[in-house]
Amino acid sequence: MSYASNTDMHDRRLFEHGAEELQAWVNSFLAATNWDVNVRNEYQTSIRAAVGKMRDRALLGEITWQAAAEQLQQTRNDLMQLMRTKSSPIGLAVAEFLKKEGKTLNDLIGRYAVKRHGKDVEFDLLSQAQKDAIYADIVDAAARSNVSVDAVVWRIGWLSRRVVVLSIAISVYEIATSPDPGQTAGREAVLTGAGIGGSVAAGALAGLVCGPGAPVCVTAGAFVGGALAVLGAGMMWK
Amino acid sequence: MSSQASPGNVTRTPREQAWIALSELFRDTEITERDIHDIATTLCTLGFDVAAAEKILKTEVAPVFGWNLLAVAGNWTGWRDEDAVGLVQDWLAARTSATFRGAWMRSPLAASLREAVFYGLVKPDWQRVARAIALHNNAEADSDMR
Repeated sequence: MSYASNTDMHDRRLFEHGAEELQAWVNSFLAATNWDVNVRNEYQTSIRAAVGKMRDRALLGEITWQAAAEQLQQTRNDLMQLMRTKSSPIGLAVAEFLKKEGKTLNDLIGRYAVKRHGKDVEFDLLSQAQKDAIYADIVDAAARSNVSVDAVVWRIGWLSRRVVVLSIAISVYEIATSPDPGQTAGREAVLTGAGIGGSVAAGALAGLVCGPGAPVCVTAGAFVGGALAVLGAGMMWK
Repeated sequence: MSSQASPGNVTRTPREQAWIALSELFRDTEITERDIHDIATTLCTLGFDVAAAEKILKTEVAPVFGWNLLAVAGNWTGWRDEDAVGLVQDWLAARTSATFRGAWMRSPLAASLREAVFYGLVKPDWQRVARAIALHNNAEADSDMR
């Protein structure tokens, strides 16, 4: 084999390793994205189930509309907190960015009372039917999610699923055309695992360093951590 | 435009009241026609036209509350008036600060990113508000002519 062909082989290998590392880095973000899309879907499903159950009980007269509104407001807030803990470090940082708690049930009663009866409304002077209508408004509001958020999540999920399929196809091609398929498959698996692990760990670490609700810091941490982990794994697994 | 006392006897400037009204667009719950009507009516009552309100939305409200629409499980109840005002004031203070973060926040690139992402998320709902403001103003003009 000539010197030129040895150099070509070396350059090609360097290029392929670089491409694999870039692919593993992208995969680590796709994993986090898909994770958050799944958490969002679970959140929506859980809300719909809770609202359906509570609304049915109120319609059947098993509980008052006031009790339904109270329980549902608490349930949705609990679900919100639970889903945030289930999301990726980036998702958690974004959710906690605003730091302030939402409105209380009394605030919501005030909002929907004004919407129905104007600014001068006195809730205590309303009839029970009027009060029930306001509680039902709160139940309805808890049941709905923002369509802009749903559309964004749907688009991100759609895009990331397709990139995942493309990424898997590239990996299969690389393994199939490799002179050493076992070695290539092992390297791809290690790089992807390192990318995901590094990204999650560095994102969480950045969250600790920058404090809660620092999405830019956590995202940057996850990017850098994922890249370093992939590069490190790539250097160990030549 | 005049300041108005809100519950708790806190006097809010028209701009602060506009922040509170516009922050409603960023709740993680459906924005109903009733919500759109209420936001538009508040802005008209405060004396803001579509262009002025849109500028406040793009440059002062969306950069703060837009994050809520990127969250997996965002705030769905809305923010208390004092929190909404405080969050925007904090953000404006950070933007004018003589720090690297402040310089970045003032840069045209950051402004473009914020507009593309945060304003982009509420643009369809904002257009509904803008139409309601236009209708409100047209109705007022018609009644003035009579």
